Amino acid sequence: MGLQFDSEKCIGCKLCQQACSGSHEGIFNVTLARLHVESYYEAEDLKVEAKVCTLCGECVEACPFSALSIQENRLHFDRENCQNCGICVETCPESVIVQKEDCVGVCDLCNGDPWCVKYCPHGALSYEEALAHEEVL
Amino acid sequence: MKVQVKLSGPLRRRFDGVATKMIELPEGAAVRDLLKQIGFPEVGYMIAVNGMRVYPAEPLKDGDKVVIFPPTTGG
Amino acid sequence: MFGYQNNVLRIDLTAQTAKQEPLNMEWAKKYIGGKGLGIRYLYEELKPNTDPLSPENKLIFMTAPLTGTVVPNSGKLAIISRSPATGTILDCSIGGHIAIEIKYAGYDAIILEGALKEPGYLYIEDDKIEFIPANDLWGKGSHETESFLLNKHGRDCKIMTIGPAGENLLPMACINSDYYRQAGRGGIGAVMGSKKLKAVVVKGSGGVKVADMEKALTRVHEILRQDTVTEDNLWAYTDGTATLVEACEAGGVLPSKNFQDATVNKSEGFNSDRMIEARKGKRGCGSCALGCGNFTKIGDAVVEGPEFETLSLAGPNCGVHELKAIVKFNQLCDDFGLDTISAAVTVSWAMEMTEKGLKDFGIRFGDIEGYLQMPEKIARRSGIGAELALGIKELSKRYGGEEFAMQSKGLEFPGYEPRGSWAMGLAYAVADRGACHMRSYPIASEVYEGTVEPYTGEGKAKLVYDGQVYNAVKFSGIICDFWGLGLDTLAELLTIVTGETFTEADMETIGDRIIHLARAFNQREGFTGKDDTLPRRIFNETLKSGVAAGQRIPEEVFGKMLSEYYEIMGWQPDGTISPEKLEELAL
Repeated sequence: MGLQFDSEKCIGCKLCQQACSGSHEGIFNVTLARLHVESYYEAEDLKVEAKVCTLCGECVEACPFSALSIQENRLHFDRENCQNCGICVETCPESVIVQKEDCVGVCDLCNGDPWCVKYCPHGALSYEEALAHEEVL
Repeated sequence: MKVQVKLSGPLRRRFDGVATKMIELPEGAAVRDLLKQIGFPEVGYMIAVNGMRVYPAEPLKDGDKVVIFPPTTGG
Repeated sequence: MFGYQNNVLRIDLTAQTAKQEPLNMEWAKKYIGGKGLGIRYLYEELKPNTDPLSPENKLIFMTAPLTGTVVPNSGKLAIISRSPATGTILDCSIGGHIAIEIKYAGYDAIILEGALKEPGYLYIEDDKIEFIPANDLWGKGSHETESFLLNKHGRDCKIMTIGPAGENLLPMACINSDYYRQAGRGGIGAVMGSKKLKAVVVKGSGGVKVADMEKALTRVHEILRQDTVTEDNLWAYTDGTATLVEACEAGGVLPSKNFQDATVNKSEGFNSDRMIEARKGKRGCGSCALGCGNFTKIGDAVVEGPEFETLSLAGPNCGVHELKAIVKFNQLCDDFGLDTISAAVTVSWAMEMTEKGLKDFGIRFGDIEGYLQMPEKIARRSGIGAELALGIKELSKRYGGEEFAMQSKGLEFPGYEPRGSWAMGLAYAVADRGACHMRSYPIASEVYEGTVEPYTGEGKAKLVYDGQVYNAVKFSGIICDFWGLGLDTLAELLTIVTGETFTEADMETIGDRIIHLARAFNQREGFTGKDDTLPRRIFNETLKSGVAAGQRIPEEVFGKMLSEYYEIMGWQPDGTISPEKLEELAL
């Protein structure tokens, strides 16, 4: 099981994406996050959308250079093998693989303790392996 | 006597998520006795009885409606 | 220092040119960002006596070092200008996601100068700046405008707009963003309107670097869990500001019928319990850990809100006790680009004038049908709205009713009755932009926490001053009002992000400096201690209902609080800052 998302608890703050980019890229920039969570208004309605890695494995299948694999229920990226062809980025059904200048960025579940989950203020994101975050009402 | 106690906002957690409870108190009890019984300090929370703010020394009577508000920082 | 982009975008709307310049880091160390740094720029750059609606006035969008980081509740933008409503300094705060987007586009601040010749909007995508004609959008509501621009430029953009009220230069026009978030007060939307600027569209692809990323992630996470999403702050999530309705009612400070009395046991139809029933979702700003926004829908009445101010002022203060009507009024104000506070208090004043037979504005307390026509009429200056659009300071000069024109320095009162919270009266009177509850919030001690006796002037000057220092530095950080963090925590967050060491004492020094700077700005524009006052109703008329029944603020007590406040500030007895003090502050 990968990250789980409960839209009822999401307030659209993007702290998850901030934390993800900060921990993986050393800079706060939500466009570099390996997940995409958003709430927005459209036609006088509040919509919530989340795209997270589901561990579907399509990128692993698609990668011509065996740079991606699933190990112990986490997506593993092998920087050495990556040729930066971008095929995984296009393949990912959730569009959560980040294309960078020299390689790609995938959700590695932060070694089992994802920053996005830790920063989610009201428990919209969860991960069973993750440390229990404080329950909020 | 019994008073109805409503906890406002995040204080509801202290009643296991229930907003309102009936609390049994000895006759002659004041607001401060109620606060003590349900685990609130005397200072720091606004208390209303029947829609009007009171202080901890206020005596209570059977059927009073008490609301405890959380401190807030802005509006 | 990290956290900053060290880059200011300066746009000349007249010439339709843009240039980038380094941020003044000397000022940044002294004022941080947001409110303080914005006022510092305006103080330096604006010639005294500049007409607020002339091209010479400037409009400054200011972020802060914490903006665009993982620091909770850091997503607000400060907007600074000279106020068309009051003539004072004006700094507003707007939520949503626009502040972070400006930072990601590479800027700490955007300074707008001059004015477009024809209606247009700005499109900013990183280094690319475009001036796009907007004749077709002129006259349209904020919501329609934002929808149009999102469709055209994509949902990744963040947008600020004005409605017809801003175009028509109303002193109560707001700036709107993310549909339901506003920089509401002091006619900031009219400044944008005077520049013929319908909207600002921003898209940024960059990020924010901090001094110590590992510490930023680990320590800020601890702070978020131990200090932000705690019982002390979570009222913002569970209820939002609606929680204040019942609290203020019980505390005797929920106004009724243009502050003629306090509302008692009448809030069932629009209190927080009712709001929760009508709630369709929760929403926060960018980087917010609390999420105060209540998305509310009752039939065709839809809004994120209403916030306490609107529930109070467009509610019982207009004789309205029904949530659906208040939601609709709020929705109309947002769309037409009106500040709900000033609009509602102007309407409530007109209701009292009509009922007293002083001037027939054709609107009475509780007349929901008539009241719901007001936002459009006022914003478009049509019919009776042409008069009401002037705001109550000007109106009461013309038609009388000055003693119950609930304003200070020309800014209409927020939704807290000062006679039940005397320090709040002082806070309104000395606030830099006119009657404002965001400059100091002593009502928390006087009413909610009950730690300070409300009906006395004793010790109130210090209480108001401490609150002003706290808010001034907090809104320069920028941290949202609703996280009651300590200044030691703010100092720690700034240290982690910037790499420069800040202490709690530094925070106090900076807050104090900002209050003085704002005062110096107003003094330069001709304001004196005489302007630090309240309408006569507060001094002369006692409240009849609620726990504060029988209370008024005697004028001599008010005068004493004011004198003590000046003394704490080190100002002269007439409220002016001496040249020596200005020198000493080295602003």
